[in-house]
Amino acid sequence: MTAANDNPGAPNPRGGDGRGHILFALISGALVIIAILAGLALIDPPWVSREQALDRNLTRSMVTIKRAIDARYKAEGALPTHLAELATQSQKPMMSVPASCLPGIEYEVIDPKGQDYKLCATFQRASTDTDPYAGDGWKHAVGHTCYALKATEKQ
Amino acid sequence: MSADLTDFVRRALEQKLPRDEIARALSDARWPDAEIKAALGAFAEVPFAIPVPRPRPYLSAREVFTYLVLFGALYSSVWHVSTLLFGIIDTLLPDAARGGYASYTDDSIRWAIAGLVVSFPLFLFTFRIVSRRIVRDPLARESRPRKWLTYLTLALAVSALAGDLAGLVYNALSGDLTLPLLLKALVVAVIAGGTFVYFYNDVRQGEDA
Repeated sequence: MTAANDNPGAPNPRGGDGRGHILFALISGALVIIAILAGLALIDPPWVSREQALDRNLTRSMVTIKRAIDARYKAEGALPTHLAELATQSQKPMMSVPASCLPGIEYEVIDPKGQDYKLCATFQRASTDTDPYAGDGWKHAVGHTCYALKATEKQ
Repeated sequence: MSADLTDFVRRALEQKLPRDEIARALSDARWPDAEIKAALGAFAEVPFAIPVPRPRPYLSAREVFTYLVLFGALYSSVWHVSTLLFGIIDTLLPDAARGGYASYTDDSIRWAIAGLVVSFPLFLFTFRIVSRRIVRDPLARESRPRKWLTYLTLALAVSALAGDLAGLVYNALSGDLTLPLLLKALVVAVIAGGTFVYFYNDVRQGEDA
Protein backbone atom coordinates (compact mmCIF):
# COMPACT_ATOMS: atom_id res chain seq x y z
CA MET A 1 0.00 0.00 0.00
CA THR A 2 3.02 2.27 0.29
CA ALA A 3 3.69 4.47 -2.71
CA ALA A 4 7.23 4.57 -4.05
CA ASN A 5 8.70 8.01 -4.22
CA ASP A 6 12.08 8.63 -5.76
CA ASN A 7 12.22 12.28 -4.95
CA PRO A 8 12.87 12.89 -1.26
CA GLY A 9 10.62 15.51 0.21
CA ALA A 10 8.10 15.50 -2.59
CA PRO A 11 4.68 14.30 -1.37
CA ASN A 12 2.94 11.36 -2.98
CA PRO A 13 1.14 13.13 -5.81
CA ARG A 14 -1.79 10.71 -5.78
CA GLY A 15 -2.33 10.00 -2.08
CA GLY A 16 -2.82 6.34 -2.94
CA ASP A 17 -5.35 5.06 -5.47
CA GLY A 18 -7.97 4.27 -2.85
CA ARG A 19 -7.85 0.50 -3.45
CA GLY A 20 -6.79 -0.15 0.16
CA HIS A 21 -9.77 1.85 1.43
CA ILE A 22 -12.15 -0.03 -0.87
CA LEU A 23 -10.75 -3.42 0.19
CA PHE A 24 -11.07 -2.49 3.88
CA ALA A 25 -14.67 -1.32 3.35
CA LEU A 26 -15.57 -4.49 1.39
CA ILE A 27 -14.06 -6.92 3.91
CA SER A 28 -15.53 -5.16 6.95
CA GLY A 29 -18.89 -4.78 5.18
CA ALA A 30 -19.00 -8.50 4.33
CA LEU A 31 -18.15 -9.41 7.94
CA VAL A 32 -20.86 -7.13 9.32
CA ILE A 33 -23.54 -8.37 6.89
CA ILE A 34 -22.75 -12.04 7.61
CA ALA A 35 -22.81 -11.37 11.37
CA ILE A 36 -26.15 -9.53 11.16
CA LEU A 37 -27.76 -12.30 9.05
CA ALA A 38 -26.47 -14.99 11.44
CA GLY A 39 -27.77 -13.02 14.43
CA LEU A 40 -31.19 -12.54 12.83
CA ALA A 41 -31.38 -16.27 12.07
CA LEU A 42 -30.75 -17.13 15.74
CA ILE A 43 -33.13 -14.78 17.54
CA ASP A 44 -36.92 -15.02 17.55
CA PRO A 45 -38.77 -12.85 15.02
CA PRO A 46 -40.29 -9.62 16.41
CA TRP A 47 -43.88 -10.91 16.58
CA VAL A 48 -42.80 -13.97 18.59
CA SER A 49 -40.80 -11.74 20.97
CA ARG A 50 -43.89 -9.56 21.42
CA GLU A 51 -46.07 -12.55 22.30
CA GLN A 52 -43.44 -13.87 24.73
CA ALA A 53 -43.24 -10.45 26.40
CA LEU A 54 -47.06 -10.39 26.82
CA ASP A 55 -46.96 -13.90 28.30
CA ARG A 56 -44.17 -12.93 30.70
CA ASN A 57 -46.23 -9.94 31.78
CA LEU A 58 -49.21 -12.22 32.52
CA THR A 59 -47.03 -14.57 34.59
CA ARG A 60 -45.51 -11.62 36.47
CA SER A 61 -49.02 -10.39 37.29
CA MET A 62 -50.01 -13.85 38.56
CA VAL A 63 -46.95 -13.98 40.82
CA THR A 64 -47.85 -10.54 42.21
CA ILE A 65 -51.48 -11.63 42.76
CA LYS A 66 -50.38 -14.83 44.53
CA ARG A 67 -48.18 -12.82 46.93
CA ALA A 68 -51.08 -10.46 47.71
CA ILE A 69 -53.44 -13.40 48.33
CA ASP A 70 -50.89 -15.01 50.65
CA ALA A 71 -50.50 -11.73 52.57
CA ARG A 72 -54.25 -11.32 52.88
CA TYR A 73 -54.72 -14.92 54.01
CA LYS A 74 -52.02 -14.44 56.63
CA ALA A 75 -53.68 -11.25 57.91
CA GLU A 76 -57.36 -12.20 57.65
CA GLY A 77 -57.37 -16.01 57.52
CA ALA A 78 -59.56 -16.04 54.38
CA LEU A 79 -59.21 -15.87 50.61
CA PRO A 80 -60.56 -12.83 48.72
CA THR A 81 -63.93 -13.47 47.05
CA HIS A 82 -63.01 -11.62 43.84
CA LEU A 83 -59.74 -10.42 42.38
CA ALA A 84 -61.08 -6.87 42.32
CA GLU A 85 -60.84 -6.84 46.12
CA LEU A 86 -57.07 -6.96 45.78
CA ALA A 87 -57.04 -3.81 43.66
CA THR A 88 -58.63 -1.69 46.37
CA GLN A 89 -56.32 0.37 48.56
CA SER A 90 -55.15 -1.52 51.59
CA GLN A 91 -53.27 -0.30 54.61
CA LYS A 92 -50.68 -2.96 53.90
CA PRO A 93 -49.21 -2.58 50.43
CA MET A 94 -48.39 -6.30 50.21
CA MET A 95 -52.12 -7.13 50.40
CA SER A 96 -53.09 -5.20 47.27
CA VAL A 97 -52.05 -5.26 43.62
CA PRO A 98 -52.12 -2.55 40.93
CA ALA A 99 -55.30 -2.67 38.85
CA SER A 100 -53.11 -3.14 35.74
CA CYS A 101 -52.24 -6.66 37.02
CA LEU A 102 -55.82 -7.94 36.77
CA PRO A 103 -56.81 -7.91 33.05
CA GLY A 104 -56.50 -11.34 31.42
CA ILE A 105 -56.36 -13.25 34.70
CA GLU A 106 -59.17 -15.39 36.07
CA TYR A 107 -59.54 -16.25 39.73
CA GLU A 108 -61.60 -19.04 41.22
CA VAL A 109 -61.89 -20.09 44.86
CA ILE A 110 -61.97 -23.88 45.07
CA ASP A 111 -62.68 -24.17 48.79
CA PRO A 112 -64.27 -21.04 50.35
CA LYS A 113 -63.35 -22.14 53.85
CA GLY A 114 -59.96 -23.48 52.92
CA GLN A 115 -56.80 -22.30 51.21
CA ASP A 116 -57.22 -23.64 47.67
CA TYR A 117 -57.84 -21.42 44.66
CA LYS A 118 -57.04 -21.27 40.93
CA LEU A 119 -55.44 -18.59 38.74
CA CYS A 120 -55.95 -18.97 34.99
CA ALA A 121 -54.80 -17.08 31.89
CA THR A 122 -54.54 -17.62 28.15
CA PHE A 123 -50.99 -17.72 26.83
CA GLN A 124 -49.93 -17.22 23.22
CA ARG A 125 -46.66 -19.16 23.46
CA ALA A 126 -45.39 -22.09 25.50
CA SER A 127 -42.95 -21.05 28.21
CA THR A 128 -39.30 -21.94 27.79
CA ASP A 129 -36.72 -23.00 30.37
CA THR A 130 -35.17 -19.54 30.22
CA ASP A 131 -38.35 -17.71 31.24
CA PRO A 132 -37.72 -15.98 34.56
CA TYR A 133 -40.55 -17.74 36.47
CA ALA A 134 -40.48 -21.11 34.66
CA GLY A 135 -38.35 -22.69 37.36
CA ASP A 136 -40.81 -21.64 40.12
CA GLY A 137 -43.72 -23.73 38.86
CA TRP A 138 -45.13 -21.18 36.43
CA LYS A 139 -44.51 -23.19 33.24
CA HIS A 140 -47.31 -23.07 30.69
CA ALA A 141 -48.32 -24.41 27.29
CA VAL A 142 -50.04 -22.46 24.50
CA GLY A 143 -53.66 -21.55 25.30
CA HIS A 144 -55.72 -21.49 28.47
CA THR A 145 -53.67 -22.61 31.48
CA CYS A 146 -54.74 -22.87 35.12
CA TYR A 147 -52.56 -23.10 38.20
CA ALA A 148 -54.01 -24.80 41.28
CA LEU A 149 -52.59 -22.86 44.23
CA LYS A 150 -52.79 -22.93 47.99
CA ALA A 151 -52.70 -19.80 50.13
CA THR A 152 -49.82 -19.99 52.53
CA GLU A 153 -48.95 -18.01 55.61
CA LYS A 154 -45.30 -18.07 54.63
CA GLN A 155 -44.11 -14.91 52.92
CA MET B 1 8.18 20.63 12.54
CA SER B 2 11.16 22.66 13.74
CA ALA B 3 11.19 26.31 12.57
CA ASP B 4 15.00 26.12 12.35
CA LEU B 5 14.79 23.16 10.00
CA THR B 6 12.20 24.83 7.75
CA ASP B 7 14.29 27.98 7.66
CA PHE B 8 17.40 25.98 6.77
CA VAL B 9 15.60 24.20 3.91
CA ARG B 10 14.20 27.50 2.62
CA ARG B 11 17.65 29.08 2.56
CA ALA B 12 19.21 26.01 0.93
CA LEU B 13 16.56 26.00 -1.79
CA GLU B 14 17.11 29.75 -2.32
CA GLN B 15 20.76 28.85 -3.01
CA LYS B 16 19.46 26.44 -5.71
CA LEU B 17 21.02 23.42 -3.95
CA PRO B 18 19.63 20.03 -5.11
CA ARG B 19 17.09 18.44 -2.79
CA ASP B 20 19.02 15.21 -2.37
CA GLU B 21 22.10 17.18 -1.32
CA ILE B 22 20.06 19.10 1.27
CA ALA B 23 18.58 15.81 2.54
CA ARG B 24 22.07 14.29 2.84
CA ALA B 25 23.37 17.28 4.81
CA LEU B 26 20.46 17.07 7.23
CA SER B 27 20.82 13.33 7.54
CA ASP B 28 24.54 13.76 8.35
CA ALA B 29 23.48 16.24 11.04
CA ARG B 30 21.28 13.40 12.48
CA TRP B 31 17.89 14.88 11.63
CA PRO B 32 15.25 12.09 11.50
CA ASP B 33 14.27 11.03 7.95
CA ALA B 34 10.60 11.78 8.58
CA GLU B 35 11.39 15.39 9.55
CA ILE B 36 13.72 15.83 6.57
CA LYS B 37 10.97 14.61 4.23
CA ALA B 38 8.40 16.82 5.87
CA ALA B 39 10.67 19.90 5.72
CA LEU B 40 11.51 19.38 2.04
CA GLY B 41 7.89 18.51 1.29
CA ALA B 42 6.84 21.87 2.68
CA PHE B 43 8.14 23.50 -0.54
CA ALA B 44 6.69 22.74 -3.95
CA GLU B 45 8.93 21.78 -6.86
CA VAL B 46 7.77 24.50 -9.23
CA PRO B 47 10.10 26.70 -11.25
CA PHE B 48 10.18 30.09 -9.52
CA ALA B 49 12.69 32.62 -8.30
CA ILE B 50 12.28 31.71 -4.64
CA PRO B 51 11.03 28.52 -2.88
CA VAL B 52 7.26 28.20 -3.11
CA PRO B 53 5.62 26.87 0.10
CA ARG B 54 2.96 24.18 -0.15
CA PRO B 55 -0.37 24.71 1.59
CA ARG B 56 -0.08 23.33 5.13
CA PRO B 57 -2.74 21.22 6.76
CA TYR B 58 -4.65 23.20 9.34
CA LEU B 59 -7.07 22.30 12.10
CA SER B 60 -10.60 23.10 10.97
CA ALA B 61 -13.75 22.50 13.01
CA ARG B 62 -15.27 20.68 10.05
CA GLU B 63 -12.35 18.28 9.88
CA VAL B 64 -12.48 17.57 13.62
CA PHE B 65 -16.22 16.88 13.29
CA THR B 66 -15.73 14.51 10.32
CA TYR B 67 -12.98 12.51 11.99
CA LEU B 68 -14.79 12.33 15.34
CA VAL B 69 -17.86 10.92 13.56
CA LEU B 70 -15.69 8.53 11.51
CA PHE B 71 -13.75 7.09 14.43
CA GLY B 72 -16.75 7.18 16.82
CA ALA B 73 -18.75 5.14 14.28
CA LEU B 74 -15.76 2.81 13.83
CA TYR B 75 -15.46 2.14 17.59
CA SER B 76 -19.21 1.66 17.91
CA SER B 77 -19.25 -0.77 14.95
CA VAL B 78 -16.31 -2.76 16.31
CA TRP B 79 -17.97 -2.98 19.75
CA HIS B 80 -21.33 -4.08 18.36
CA VAL B 81 -19.96 -6.60 15.85
CA SER B 82 -17.88 -8.17 18.66
CA THR B 83 -20.94 -8.33 20.95
CA LEU B 84 -22.98 -9.83 18.12
CA LEU B 85 -20.40 -12.52 17.34
CA PHE B 86 -20.03 -13.30 21.07
CA GLY B 87 -23.83 -13.67 21.30
CA ILE B 88 -23.87 -16.00 18.28
CA ILE B 89 -21.11 -18.14 19.84
CA ASP B 90 -22.96 -18.25 23.19
CA THR B 91 -26.18 -19.33 21.46
CA LEU B 92 -24.63 -21.99 19.24
CA LEU B 93 -22.15 -23.31 21.81
CA PRO B 94 -23.61 -22.68 25.27
CA ASP B 95 -21.02 -23.08 28.01
CA ALA B 96 -22.33 -25.44 30.71
CA ALA B 97 -20.25 -23.64 33.34
CA ARG B 98 -22.01 -20.33 32.67
CA GLY B 99 -25.61 -21.50 33.14
CA GLY B 100 -28.62 -20.52 30.99
CA TYR B 101 -28.27 -17.00 29.69
CA ALA B 102 -30.30 -17.54 26.51
CA SER B 103 -32.71 -14.69 27.19
CA TYR B 104 -29.83 -12.33 27.99
CA THR B 105 -28.00 -13.48 24.86
CA ASP B 106 -31.05 -12.88 22.65
CA ASP B 107 -31.29 -9.35 24.02
CA SER B 108 -27.59 -8.69 23.53
CA ILE B 109 -27.87 -9.94 19.92
CA ARG B 110 -30.82 -7.60 19.31
CA TRP B 111 -28.93 -4.62 20.77
CA ALA B 112 -25.82 -5.46 18.76
CA ILE B 113 -27.78 -5.69 15.49
CA ALA B 114 -29.58 -2.43 16.29
CA GLY B 115 -26.26 -0.69 17.02
CA LEU B 116 -24.60 -2.07 13.89
CA VAL B 117 -27.49 -1.17 11.58
CA VAL B 118 -27.02 2.47 12.64
CA SER B 119 -23.28 2.83 13.26
CA PHE B 120 -21.80 0.79 10.41
CA PRO B 121 -23.49 2.66 7.51
CA LEU B 122 -22.48 5.90 9.26
CA PHE B 123 -18.89 4.64 9.39
CA LEU B 124 -18.94 3.61 5.70
CA PHE B 125 -20.43 6.97 4.69
CA THR B 126 -17.81 9.08 6.51
CA PHE B 127 -15.04 6.64 5.52
CA ARG B 128 -15.97 7.14 1.85
CA ILE B 129 -15.98 10.93 2.20
CA VAL B 130 -12.56 10.92 3.87
CA SER B 131 -11.02 8.36 1.49
CA ARG B 132 -12.15 10.27 -1.59
CA ARG B 133 -10.78 13.49 -0.13
CA ILE B 134 -7.38 11.85 0.45
CA VAL B 135 -7.22 10.41 -3.08
CA ARG B 136 -8.08 13.87 -4.45
CA ASP B 137 -5.78 15.79 -2.10
CA PRO B 138 -2.87 13.81 -0.55
CA LEU B 139 -2.22 16.66 1.91
CA ALA B 140 -5.49 15.74 3.65
CA ARG B 141 -3.60 12.71 4.99
CA GLU B 142 -1.57 15.13 7.12
CA SER B 143 -4.69 16.27 9.00
CA ARG B 144 -3.92 16.48 12.72
CA PRO B 145 -7.21 15.02 14.02
CA ARG B 146 -6.74 12.15 11.56
CA LYS B 147 -3.24 11.40 12.84
CA TRP B 148 -4.21 11.64 16.52
CA LEU B 149 -7.29 9.45 16.16
CA THR B 150 -5.41 6.96 13.98
CA TYR B 151 -2.69 6.54 16.61
CA LEU B 152 -5.37 6.32 19.33
CA THR B 153 -7.02 3.54 17.29
CA LEU B 154 -3.69 1.73 16.96
CA ALA B 155 -3.19 1.99 20.73
CA LEU B 156 -6.70 0.64 21.38
CA ALA B 157 -6.18 -2.23 18.93
CA VAL B 158 -2.88 -3.19 20.59
CA SER B 159 -4.56 -2.99 24.04
CA ALA B 160 -7.40 -5.23 22.84
CA LEU B 161 -4.93 -7.78 21.46
CA ALA B 162 -2.87 -7.71 24.67
CA GLY B 163 -6.03 -8.06 26.80
CA ASP B 164 -7.18 -10.90 24.55
CA LEU B 165 -3.91 -12.74 25.06
CA ALA B 166 -3.98 -12.15 28.83
CA GLY B 167 -7.56 -13.44 28.94
CA LEU B 168 -6.51 -16.60 27.12
CA VAL B 169 -3.69 -17.23 29.58
CA TYR B 170 -5.99 -16.55 32.57
CA ASN B 171 -8.65 -18.95 31.27
CA ALA B 172 -6.04 -21.57 30.48
CA LEU B 173 -4.84 -21.35 34.08
CA SER B 174 -8.45 -21.57 35.34
CA GLY B 175 -9.22 -24.63 33.24
CA ASP B 176 -11.76 -22.71 31.15
CA LEU B 177 -10.02 -22.95 27.79
CA THR B 178 -13.17 -24.14 26.02
CA LEU B 179 -14.10 -23.96 22.32
CA PRO B 180 -16.49 -20.98 22.80
CA LEU B 181 -13.78 -19.07 24.63
CA LEU B 182 -11.20 -19.82 21.94
CA LEU B 183 -13.66 -18.65 19.28
CA LYS B 184 -14.27 -15.41 21.18
CA ALA B 185 -10.52 -14.84 21.46
CA LEU B 186 -10.28 -15.43 17.71
CA VAL B 187 -13.05 -12.86 17.10
CA VAL B 188 -11.14 -10.23 19.11
CA ALA B 189 -7.86 -11.14 17.39
CA VAL B 190 -9.37 -10.87 13.89
CA ILE B 191 -11.21 -7.59 14.53
CA ALA B 192 -8.46 -5.86 16.54
CA GLY B 193 -5.73 -7.32 14.31
CA GLY B 194 -7.50 -6.33 11.09
CA THR B 195 -8.11 -2.81 12.38
CA PHE B 196 -4.47 -2.53 13.47
CA VAL B 197 -3.07 -3.76 10.15
CA TYR B 198 -5.25 -1.41 8.10
CA PHE B 199 -4.49 1.72 10.15
CA TYR B 200 -0.82 0.84 10.57
CA ASN B 201 -0.46 0.59 6.77
CA ASP B 202 -2.40 3.82 6.42
CA VAL B 203 -0.05 5.65 8.79
CA ARG B 204 3.03 4.24 7.06
CA GLN B 205 1.67 5.26 3.68
CA GLY B 206 1.25 8.78 5.03
CA GLU B 207 4.80 8.83 6.38
CA ASP B 208 6.29 7.43 3.16
CA ALA B 209 4.48 10.00 1.05
